[in-house]
Amino acid sequence: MIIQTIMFYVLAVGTVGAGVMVIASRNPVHSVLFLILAFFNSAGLFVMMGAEFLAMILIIVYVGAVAVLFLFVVMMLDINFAELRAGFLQYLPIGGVIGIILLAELVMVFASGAIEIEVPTNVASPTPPPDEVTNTQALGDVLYTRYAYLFQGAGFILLIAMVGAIVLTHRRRTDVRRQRIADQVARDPKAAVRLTDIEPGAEGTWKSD
Amino acid sequence: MNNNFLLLLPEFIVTGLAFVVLGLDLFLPERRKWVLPIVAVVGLVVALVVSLRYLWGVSDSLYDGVIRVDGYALFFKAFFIALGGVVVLVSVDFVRRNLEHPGEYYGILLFTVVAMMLLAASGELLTAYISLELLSFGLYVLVAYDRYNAKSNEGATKYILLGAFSSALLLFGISQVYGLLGTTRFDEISSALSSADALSPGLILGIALIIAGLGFKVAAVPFHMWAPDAYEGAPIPITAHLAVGSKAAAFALVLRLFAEAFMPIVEQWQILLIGLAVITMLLGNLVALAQRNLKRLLAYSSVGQVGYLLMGVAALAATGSGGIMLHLVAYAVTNMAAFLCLAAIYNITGRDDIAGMAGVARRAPLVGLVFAVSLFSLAGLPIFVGFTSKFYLFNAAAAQGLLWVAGIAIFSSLISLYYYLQVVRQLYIEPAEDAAPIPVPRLTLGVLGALFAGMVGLGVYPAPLMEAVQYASDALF
Amino acid sequence: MAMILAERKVSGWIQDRHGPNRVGPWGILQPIADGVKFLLKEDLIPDHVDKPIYLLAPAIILVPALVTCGVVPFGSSITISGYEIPLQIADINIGVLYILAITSLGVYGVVLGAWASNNKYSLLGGLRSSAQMISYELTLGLSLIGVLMLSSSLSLREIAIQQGSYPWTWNFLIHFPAFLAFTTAAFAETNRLPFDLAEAEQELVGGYHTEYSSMKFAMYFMAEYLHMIVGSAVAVTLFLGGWHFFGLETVGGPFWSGVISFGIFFAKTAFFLFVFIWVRWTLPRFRYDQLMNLGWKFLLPIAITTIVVTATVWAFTQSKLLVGILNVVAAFIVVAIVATTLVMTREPEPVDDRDILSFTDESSS
Repeated sequence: MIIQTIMFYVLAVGTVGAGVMVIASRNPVHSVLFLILAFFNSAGLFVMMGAEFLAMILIIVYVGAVAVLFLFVVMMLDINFAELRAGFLQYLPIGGVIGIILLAELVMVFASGAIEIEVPTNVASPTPPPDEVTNTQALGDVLYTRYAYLFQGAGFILLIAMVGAIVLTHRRRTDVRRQRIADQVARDPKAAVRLTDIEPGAEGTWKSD
Repeated sequence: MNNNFLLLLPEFIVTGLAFVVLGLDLFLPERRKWVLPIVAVVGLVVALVVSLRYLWGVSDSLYDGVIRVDGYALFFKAFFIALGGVVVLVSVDFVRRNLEHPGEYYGILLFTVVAMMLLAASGELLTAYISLELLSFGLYVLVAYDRYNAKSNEGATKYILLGAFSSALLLFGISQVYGLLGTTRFDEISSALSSADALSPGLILGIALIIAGLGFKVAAVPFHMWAPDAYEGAPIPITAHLAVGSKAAAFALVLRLFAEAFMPIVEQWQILLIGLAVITMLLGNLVALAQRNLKRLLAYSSVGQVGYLLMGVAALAATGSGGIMLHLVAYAVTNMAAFLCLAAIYNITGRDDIAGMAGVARRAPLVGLVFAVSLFSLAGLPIFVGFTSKFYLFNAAAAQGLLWVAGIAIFSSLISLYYYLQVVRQLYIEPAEDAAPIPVPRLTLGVLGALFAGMVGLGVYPAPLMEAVQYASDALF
Repeated sequence: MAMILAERKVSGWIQDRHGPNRVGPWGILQPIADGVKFLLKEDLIPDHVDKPIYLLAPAIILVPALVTCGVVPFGSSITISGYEIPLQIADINIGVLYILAITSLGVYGVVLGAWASNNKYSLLGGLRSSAQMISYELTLGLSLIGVLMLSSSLSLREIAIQQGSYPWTWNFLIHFPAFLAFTTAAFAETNRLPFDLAEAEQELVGGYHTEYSSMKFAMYFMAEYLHMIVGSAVAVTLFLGGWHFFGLETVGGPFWSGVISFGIFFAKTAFFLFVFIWVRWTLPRFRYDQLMNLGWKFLLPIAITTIVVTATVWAFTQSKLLVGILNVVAAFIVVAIVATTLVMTREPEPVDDRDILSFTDESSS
């Protein structure tokens, strides 16, 4: 139990610390790396809660795909972040004040009464006991039955995002040459080769038709 | 759990329609693309007929309460389908002239209609969240659709960033509520709240966060910063859709959420909503005074309208949702007419600032007339529908004992009258820079005529609308 | 280590030459000589690199490759002096996901190493690699879903056991298109020919590891081979019945059956590795657009089709035979559709060459 507690704090502090470093680090690539570290730590937290499926999906999707794309973009950007950040500090006082107010509110809210930790009794869909059903199965059981609509809806969201991204960025360029294999194969010497007699010394006779 | 999927027929039809439009776009050559809006409108009409024919009087739920099919959902379903049809009609001429890729435009537009329908039907927080995101994503894309226009990009960027932020707030709020009550279903939240003897602070925090998240979506005042830029940048039909559709959808959710789930603790949130309502109507209308761009002006005026609606929500406990729904419909008809006029003018002159409206009444008399009428209706002058609905809304607030709030609402209505009249002055009195008549397509004239009839007809004889609203709001309580 | 020798021997064989033959009998000790050479070479750190990341990158690529070995079952189980020891380091119940998660990290070693080197060739290699890995990882993951659906388990051992002893019950027949897609994607994930655009020594000097020397280069090198081994082992476990072969794995006592099962598994993996080497020395490198076309327009549709077909057929008939047949048929149909659309789609008219040349006209007229 003590080990779990220690692990929890290590991972939790790691998550928050990496999150802070994402904003604080000077180099955007380092920021992305800290983001990945944060993902890893939260995956660790998931594992500790017994949600290993979510942990693995988190890594596959976010670390394996999303963050790589981030990195891809960030590496190609030639941005001087120090310059971009130059005017950043002037917002610090107002941002800090708002942050402190929010923090104070949160603390007041949570300190003014004990937070009920115990799970309420009127839970609508009881989760199956973790030691009988693997959580992959448990997730599938509700995801494809009771929450089938949500699953579909999330699919539509992704579809819209995809269609939108393509529509907004794709442009059909007419100024590039593409390989057209069929045309290449269909070429014959008669159409491709042109023999001209050029008078020696004549100027400007070379003329493409 | 037995699901009667026939109850979802309208949603299925509209979703299928979206796919048909997207698919047709692939195979149609460029010069045949004019078919797409026709297909969309025909499909929406079919969906409207089907939903009114089969769902009238049905009260049921699917997926164990995740989706509700009742009179309230039906009212908003019909409303949103009709709205979607009008937006498509408004778009036809605009898209042809100003935008590329019509197929995806109409496809995504139809998806947002589905999202709005589901938002009104959701009986549970997560469903509501997913529907809201579906709506928002569609709108993000549509706002950015005029992609060679820097303003469109700017507006979309702000909208996306703040939208994502508000979604995070909303989700955090939902997780608080779920964590402390163990359920996300509205009716179960309600029973859990009424059986609890003391409210835990975490729960209040959760509800406050939900209000903040939804506040972003409806552009209530401390959370309205994205609205003017997004409205200004978006293509005009999408501005109309944003101003009317997304707002109505968010209010459809807010009404159900507060009426069904949070009613037992009405004292806790009422004061919060009153505060939001007051600053929203004051600030929205005051800032609108300073606007030069007509789209921004309409944006701020719609922020002001949100204030009136929030006041109605605050008065929910005593008077029910009738006034708000009435005002939503009135506001939709009126705003649609205003934006359609703006689009018709913009299509020819390329101007969307207030000075650009000079002399329009002479260049295009019908458009000028409908524009002026819609602005009067927005201001709430009698014989137009805006008056009727505002009257009911303010009356409801007064009946709840919020007389001072109603007073502020009337005061800010007067402010709004001033800037609406500014526009009307441009339309009718100022001389035109260019006296050439503005040609208006027949389709636009037809839609304008219908909206005009709606504004005047419902203003003079609101009884059928009242009945429908009554029927819908009965389902809620 | 043995792999490297095998690679060079086989490549020599394919190219009709000898391969290493100086160190030890038949060059057996050649890899060791190479290793010593790597260790003793000067470890150069160029001074324009981003140092922490530059140093970290080789480890990032090597460690995931090593860690994945942990969940692959190398054989059934072996009994030594009464203790039954499963031939697997850890049988976690989400083994497949674990492998997908960890292999997806491998790309960071490449990308970060490329970026940290501060060299344009490296960076180009890294960019190519990340695009490629992302594209093929989708196929890699999706092609497994059919298998996972029918075995309703995510544990590698469980899946291997379910396939039974005989080749006609193994998954590669039931999910043949998925098997092909998986293998191709696994090839791509190893960054080897024909998918070695990240390295492409003719274009990019050495690609992402241009600036690496000595042991750090060796780590990249080892990681590549480890990826091959892990890829083959996973393919064997998921599609080729793991350690099963005609019931041979049950012959003998509790000790020997374990040894034999390990031998069978090893042999199957070795076969796969041979295919890897064979392909590398046979096929030329893809062009970039061909690579993307293959990944997105052929493999991905095939993988998605197998999911749909498998799910539908299984839901209605529960017959593995039908699933197998229809999977192949569906894959053919999809490939045919994609190919025809690709051919039919009219590209926009290319720029007329004559416009480009027409400046001569102006000068002459």
